[in-house]
Amino acid sequence: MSQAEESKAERVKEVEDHISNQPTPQNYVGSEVRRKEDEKILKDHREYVQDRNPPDALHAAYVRSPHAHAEITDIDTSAAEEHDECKLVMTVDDYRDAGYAPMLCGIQEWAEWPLADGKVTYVGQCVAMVVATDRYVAEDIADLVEVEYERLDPLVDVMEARDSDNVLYPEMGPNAPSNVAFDETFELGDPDGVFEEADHVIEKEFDWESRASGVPLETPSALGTCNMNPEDGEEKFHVWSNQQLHTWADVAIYAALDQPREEVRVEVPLTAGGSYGTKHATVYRHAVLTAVASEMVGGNPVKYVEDRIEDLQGGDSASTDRHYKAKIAFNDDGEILANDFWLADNFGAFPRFICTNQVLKPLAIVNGPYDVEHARYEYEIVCTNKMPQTSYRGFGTPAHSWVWEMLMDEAADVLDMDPTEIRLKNYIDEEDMPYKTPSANVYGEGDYAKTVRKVWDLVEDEKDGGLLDPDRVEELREEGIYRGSGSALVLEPGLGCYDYHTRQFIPRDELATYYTPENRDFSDVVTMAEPLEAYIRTDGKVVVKISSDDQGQGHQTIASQMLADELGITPDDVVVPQQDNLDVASDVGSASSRMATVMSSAAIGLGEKLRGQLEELAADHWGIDTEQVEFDEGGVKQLSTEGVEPVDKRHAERLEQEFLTLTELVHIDKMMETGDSHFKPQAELKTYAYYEYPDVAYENREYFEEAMIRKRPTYPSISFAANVPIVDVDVETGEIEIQKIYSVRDSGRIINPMIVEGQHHGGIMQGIGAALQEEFGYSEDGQPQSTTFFDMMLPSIENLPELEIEKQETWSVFSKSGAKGVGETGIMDIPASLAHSVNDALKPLDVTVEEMPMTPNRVRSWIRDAGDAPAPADD
Amino acid sequence: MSMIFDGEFETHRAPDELWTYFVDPDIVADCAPGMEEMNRISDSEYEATITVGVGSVKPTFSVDATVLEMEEPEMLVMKAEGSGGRKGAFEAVSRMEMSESEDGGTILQWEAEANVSGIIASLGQRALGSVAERLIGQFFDCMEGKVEQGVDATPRMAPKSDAEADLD
Repeated sequence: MSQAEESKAERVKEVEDHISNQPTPQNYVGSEVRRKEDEKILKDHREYVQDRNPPDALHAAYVRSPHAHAEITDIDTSAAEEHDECKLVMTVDDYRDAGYAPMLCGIQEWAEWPLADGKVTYVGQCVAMVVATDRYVAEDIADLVEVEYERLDPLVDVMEARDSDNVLYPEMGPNAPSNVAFDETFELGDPDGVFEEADHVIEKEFDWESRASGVPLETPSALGTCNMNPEDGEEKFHVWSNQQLHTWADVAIYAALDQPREEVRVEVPLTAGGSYGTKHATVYRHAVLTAVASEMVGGNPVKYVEDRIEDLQGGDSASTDRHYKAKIAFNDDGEILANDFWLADNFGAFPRFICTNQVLKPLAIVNGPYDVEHARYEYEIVCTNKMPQTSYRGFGTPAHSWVWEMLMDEAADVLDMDPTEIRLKNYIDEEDMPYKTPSANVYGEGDYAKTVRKVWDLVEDEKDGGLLDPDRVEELREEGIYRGSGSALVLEPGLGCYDYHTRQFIPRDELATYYTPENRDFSDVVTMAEPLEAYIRTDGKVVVKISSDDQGQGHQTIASQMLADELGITPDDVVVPQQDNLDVASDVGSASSRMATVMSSAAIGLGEKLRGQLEELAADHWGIDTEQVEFDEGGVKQLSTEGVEPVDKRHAERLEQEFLTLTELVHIDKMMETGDSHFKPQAELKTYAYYEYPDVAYENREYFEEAMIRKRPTYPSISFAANVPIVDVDVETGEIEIQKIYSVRDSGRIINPMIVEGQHHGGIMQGIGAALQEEFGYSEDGQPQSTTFFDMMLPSIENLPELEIEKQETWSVFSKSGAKGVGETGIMDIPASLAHSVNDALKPLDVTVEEMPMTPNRVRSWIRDAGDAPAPADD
Repeated sequence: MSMIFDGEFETHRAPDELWTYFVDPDIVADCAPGMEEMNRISDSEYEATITVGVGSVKPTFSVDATVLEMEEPEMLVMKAEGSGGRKGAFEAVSRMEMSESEDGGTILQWEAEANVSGIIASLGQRALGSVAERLIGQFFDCMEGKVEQGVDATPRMAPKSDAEADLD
C-alpha cells in the first residue's frame, strides 16, 4: 500500500472505531432526524429585525444617490432639520466629526466612509441618514435634504474601467491612481514552457457579468442602541442585526465605532433565513450607523430595515461579474497540460471586506477536477460605477468551473473526441489522492471517473425510449427543439483556511518575498479553530453553545444529533441556543460548509472531552479509580468496586448506586462536598466543557504547509458532483427548458440525509437561477435596471425540474467527522453542467456558450450570429 | 439613463397665433400636467414643483427650467432639471419647432433628450416612454384648448444669454 492509501485506511478505521465505541443505543448521525428548526420557521415563530420594536425606538431612512457617478457640491439639511418630527440628519461630516472611523475594505490602503464623502460612485449609495419618529416620516424628511450633484462620466464596463483615466478613487489602493484596485499573477509550474510545446492551444474569452443574488427573506437590517449611562459591565452599544458571521466579522462594526470588542454586543436573529454571503458587505453599514445615530439622539434605539428596492438597487447584494481570457494547452491524445486564466472582476464602487477573496478561492481549484500540473492565474479587481459586489454562495468558483468546462468542450471539439471521454482521460486518478494542485492546495479523496460513470449508468435508460432516445431527439429537432445532455463533474471546495483572507492587505512585494517557505515559519500562519462549549443543565439536558451564526442551515439539528450520539442521549435532550458575539469564542461562522465539517468534528471532540470529565466526576464520587467506571447511555456506570472499602455509611450508599445519570452527575458536580448548595466556578465544573477543534489544514500540515505559508487559499474539504442535465433549447425563442437533472453528489459523510437533500434542492435551484435567468442589469450610464422582482428573475419552484439525485459518501480524510459539507452545493456545479449540456444541444448549429446567464435573448443572438441557423419566420 | 422622446401635432391655427401662448409662462404653467406651483425668477428662469406618476412611483420634482433659445414663431428650446429626492432626478433639453402646414395651420414637432437617474430610471423604465407621451399629449391638448377659447396670452419668456443646450 502506498503511504496515501495507508493514511486513508487508517483514517477510515479511526472513524469506524469511534462510531462503534459511541454510547448511543442508536446512531442519530446518518439518519433522517427531523430538523428541530422547521416547525418554528414554518409557523412563523421567528423574530426578524422588523419584529423588534422597542417603544422608544426611532426610525431611520437614507438619502441615496440617484446618480452612478457625481461630485457632491452641497448638502443642505436645513429644511429637513426644521421638520417637527426630525430627530437627526447625519452626513459624513457629522459622523467623522464625532470621531467614528471608516469601514473596513477588502484591500490595503482603501477606506470607505459609511456615508458618501464628497462624491457618489453608484446609484443607491447612502449620502445621509435621517432619523425620525417613524419610517414614513423619515422617508418624507429624507426628501427634504437637498443634495447638489455635479455629474461625472460613469464607468460600467470592466474592460473600459481598467484602462480609464477617469478613476473613481484616485487616492486609494496600491495601484493608485487606477480603477484596478488590486491585481496578482500566480505562475504555478512552467505554464509558458508547456504552452510553447503543446500540440494544441485554445484561447477564448468568456463573460459572466450578470451577477446573481441570494436575495434574503429579510433584507439587511439593524436596530442599534447606545447605552448612554452604562453600569459597570454593560456594553456601550447593543446592535440587533442580521449580520452574517457575527462572532468574527463583528470587527467590521466595532472597528468603525472605534470601540473595543467588549463594548459592542451584536445579537443576531435565530434561523431568520438565508444569507449566502449576501449580507457580508452591507449590513455592517446599517449596524454602525444606527448605533451612531442612537448615540447622537441621546440613546433611543434606532432602527433601519432596507426595503427591497434599496437592496436590489444599492444594497451590495450580488455577485459575480467577470470577464475572462482563458486558455488551455493539450496534446493530440487529449491530455490537458496547462491552463492559463486571466480575469477582470467588476467589483463595482468599492472592493468590500471579505468579498474580495472571491477572486482567490478559485486558485484552490485552479486545475478543476483535472490532473494538470502547470497553471497561470491572474486576476484584477476593478472598480466601476456599479453597486459594490457582495460575497455570494460559491464564493467566486462557479464562473471558474464554468470556464473550465467550456474549454474542455472546445478541446473535445478540436480533437473530435467525445466530451465525456476527454474528461475521463484527464480526471485526477483516485490512486493519486491526496492530490496536490499546482497552487499547493490538496484534494483528499474521491474517484471522479467512477462518479461520472455512475451518473451515466443512471441515465442509461433514457436512451432507449426515454428522454434521450435518438428518435425522439431527432423528432424534437425537426420541431426546433434541440435537446442536449452531457456530464460535467464539478468540485465544491469548502472549509477555507483563515490565513489567506488577509492576503490582499499585504503589500505585493512582501507576498512575493516574505511569504515563502524559506522566510516564513509555519507558526506564523493564522488559523481558526472551531470552538464549541457544552454544559449540563440541572434537568440533565445538554446545552451546546455554538459560535456560528445560525440562519437555519441546521445547526441545532446537527449539533443535537452529534451530541446525542456522543453522550448516548436523544437529540431532544440537547439544547442549541443562538449566542451573541460576546458570549462565545470567535468563529468564522456559517461559511464554507463549516457546520458540516468542523462544527460536527468539534462536537466529537467535545463529546469525548465531556465523557472523560464525567467519568472522572463519577469515579471521584464513588471514590474509585477512573478505570473502574465507563460512560454509557446517558450517564456513567460502575464497572467494579474491587479493592475499595467504604470509608463510612454514606460512601457505602454511594457505591450502591451503580449508575449515575446526567441529572445526578450535574447535582453532584454543583454541590460542594459539605452538601451546601454553593456552585463552583464554571472552570471547575466537570459537567461543563470547552473544546476547540483545530484548524484542519493546519493539523494536516504535511499536506497544506506550503500553501498556507504562501498565504494561498487552502480548501481541505472537496465535495463534488457529477451532473447530467437534459436540456431543451427552443431555437426560435432561445428559451431553455430543463427536462431532468441526473446527479451523483458526494459530500463526504452525511450527518443528516434530509438536510443534505434540502440543500441539494435549494442549491440546484440557485444554480439554475444563476445560469438561466438572474441578472442585475445596468444601463450604459450605470442606472440599475433590476430593482424589483419583475426584472430580477428569481427562480421559483416552477423552474425546478425533476431531479434524480444519488448521494455518495467518500468520507473526508482530513476532518474528524468525515463530512465535507454541502454549504455551496448546486450553485457551484449546476451552471457549468447546464452550459455543457447546452453546448451539446446546440452542437449541430455550431453554437457554444461563451456568456452567462443563458437568457433567451442571449441564446437567440448566438443562434442568429451562427448564421445557418433555422430562423423563425419573422426574425 | 439617457432617453429621447419625440412627437408631432397638427392644428389648424397658424404658428404665430400659437406662439404667444407657448411663451406665456402662466399659460404654460396652467397646462403643464402635475404642476403644483411655479415661480418666476426671471423671464428666462423658472422654479416649479411638479408631481407625476411614473409606473408605481409618484415623485414630486423640484424643477429649475431655463429658456435657452427662442425664434419667433418657429423654435423654442428649454432646459429643465428636476430633483425628486429618493425617487430620482432628471435633466432634459426640449426643442419645439413649428412650421406652417399646407392649409395654413401648424405642424408642431417636438423632441426631448433626458437623463433620468435613480428609482424612476429603474422602476419606471417601462412606463417612462408612454407616460411622457401621455403627459405631453395632455399638455398640447390643453394649449390648443386655450387658443380655441381665445384666452388672453402675454409673451413674456426670453432666452438666457449665456446658457448652453448640452446636458451635463
